[in-house]
Amino acid sequence: MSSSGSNLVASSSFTTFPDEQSQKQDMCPICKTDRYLSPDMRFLINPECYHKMCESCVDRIYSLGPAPCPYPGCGKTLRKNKFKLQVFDDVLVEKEIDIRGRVLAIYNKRELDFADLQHFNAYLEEVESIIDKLMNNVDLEETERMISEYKATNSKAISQNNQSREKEFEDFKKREQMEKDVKLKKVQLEKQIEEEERELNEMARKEILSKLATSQDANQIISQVKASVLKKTSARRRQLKEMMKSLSASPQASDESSKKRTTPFTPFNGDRVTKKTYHLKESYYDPFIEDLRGRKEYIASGFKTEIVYERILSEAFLGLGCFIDRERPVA
Amino acid sequence: MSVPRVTFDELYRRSSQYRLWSYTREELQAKREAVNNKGCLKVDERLKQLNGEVSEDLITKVTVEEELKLISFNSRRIGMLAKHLNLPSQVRATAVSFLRKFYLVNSVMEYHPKLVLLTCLFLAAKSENSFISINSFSKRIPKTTPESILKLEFEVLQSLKFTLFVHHPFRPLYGFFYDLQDVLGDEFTIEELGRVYDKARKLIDEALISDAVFHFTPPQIALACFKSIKPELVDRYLEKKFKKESKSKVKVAEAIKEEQDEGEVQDQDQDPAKASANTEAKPKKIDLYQELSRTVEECTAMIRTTQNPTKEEATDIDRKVHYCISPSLVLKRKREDTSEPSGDDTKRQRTETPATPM
Repeated sequence: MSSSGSNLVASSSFTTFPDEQSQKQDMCPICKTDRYLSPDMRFLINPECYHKMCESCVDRIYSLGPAPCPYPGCGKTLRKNKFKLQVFDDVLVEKEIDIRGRVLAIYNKRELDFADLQHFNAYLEEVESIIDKLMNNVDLEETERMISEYKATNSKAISQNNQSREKEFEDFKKREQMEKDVKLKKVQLEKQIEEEERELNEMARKEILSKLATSQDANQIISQVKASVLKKTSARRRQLKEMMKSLSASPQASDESSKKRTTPFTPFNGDRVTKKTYHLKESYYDPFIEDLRGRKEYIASGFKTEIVYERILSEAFLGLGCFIDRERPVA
Repeated sequence: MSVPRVTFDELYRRSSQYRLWSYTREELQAKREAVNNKGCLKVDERLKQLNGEVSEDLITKVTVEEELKLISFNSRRIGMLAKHLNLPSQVRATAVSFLRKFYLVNSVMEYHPKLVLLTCLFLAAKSENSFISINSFSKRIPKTTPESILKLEFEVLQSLKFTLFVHHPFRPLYGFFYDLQDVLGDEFTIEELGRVYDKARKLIDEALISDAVFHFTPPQIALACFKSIKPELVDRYLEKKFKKESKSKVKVAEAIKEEQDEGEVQDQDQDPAKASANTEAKPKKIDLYQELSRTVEECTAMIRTTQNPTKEEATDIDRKVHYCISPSLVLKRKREDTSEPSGDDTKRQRTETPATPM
């Protein structure tokens, strides 16, 4: 969190609006240094009390060891190594992120660990209520006790889950890196192709010039050289293209092998019946459809009488064999 | 290679109409009684709130039958109103369905149908994709404001459990019109079939007001409508299509059987003798032909019993409901009665009838 936070802060420095509110926000409340005067000032907070102060204040006050928070009426003892960058303007958000990180490192079960969705949802609900209690300082002691108890009883599962999660993250990173590499190689290849072509053209020009110096039939020489160059370039290009193809194909192949789906997805756990209860005639007596069939605008938009017939007929049998009085009491 | 197959019946069983709005006769009756009880309790509560200003014997609560009559009457009014507004029959049918479902959850003593029916019609127009803006809708119906219609919209939606799709018998009827041409094309002329179809389509409007919609599926109601017009047509159709013995159509029956077995893929044998042997091998399966003809027969009978209360009957119930909903009006009426000299009968008659937005 903190490593990715640094670039967030760097980009957030552009939010220097000239209004009073932000001016106040851009001033360290301890030493009253303004961002206007020291543009690379950074604010730090401590998860003990979430009071913000600028980096130089932290250095000044806490370099000699633990000291009380300089905010009036706070009085919490803070340590320098616990200070971190403030990413969000709202300290409550900061607080929640900290609490969430702490709780979720302990309550780290996943959906796979549960028998069904209902249990998983109940678990999530429990976790959220714990976070909420810690956020709003309700039943602090009891909740803390609960967390440590849970941690003690499930320590093995917790570490296992954490490990598997880390591994997943690593895999994800690896894949990402691979994709990046492939992209880079592609770009390089393209550049190479371009360069080689340019070189070949240059060479051809020189050859033509030198040959023209010794011979008479200019046109013939030019066409000869050009043909030979074309042959070379096309051969080389084909080669490069094949290389490109193999590059782009390799990650896809590995992707496809991971996805093992043998049957197509059907929303009703199966396909429609193939044997129909009706026999579709070529045409039925129906003046309404007959009329539509002849119209240009309908034909152009793909109007087909068979489809209409099929739909009308299939609706006739939608539920014909459901006998409510017989089925309902059982269901 | 047992690929599971989803039959048409199975698809219908997944519809909200089957899951939430289909009942046996006992269930429906129980539901109506419960709703009536709920309505009565509500009236008692209202009386209690008035601190006994209105004595109980001045108010007459309505019975289950009276509720039903009032709802049927108002369902018919939806039809007239939809015609007046030039709405398609699909919208009209859906509005009727909404109204009747609404009163399976609420009593007429809680919400007056004359208000609910407008909301139902507006909502049906919306859900059936022939939207009218609320302003032009209320402008074309006297004595309404957009607010009075929209006020009940959420209540209606909630009572419908937010299930807005309704399968109507119109399309199945159309489908059977086609299939009749295929199956009985050599026995009946196309003119005759067309005539029967037109009459049956009109009969669907009756069927929508009957209880058949809660007890039978749309195709069954469609067949029942055909049967009411021309019984021998449907009898012949069912016999030819679904009866096992008729050798010529054994393959069709076989296909249906397969549907019934939902998912069991049988070897597609073309030999009819073997096919029939196959069906006979499963005696525990219900006989589709007999079951269908029995169901269609019952449904036909039920459509015939559709209630059509007279205007006088409806007005009478309407008045009772009106006082049930706002009991304090009884006091007002009584006061006016005593202050006014008796004999001004015509005026009293007029004011006593609750204003109807028609």
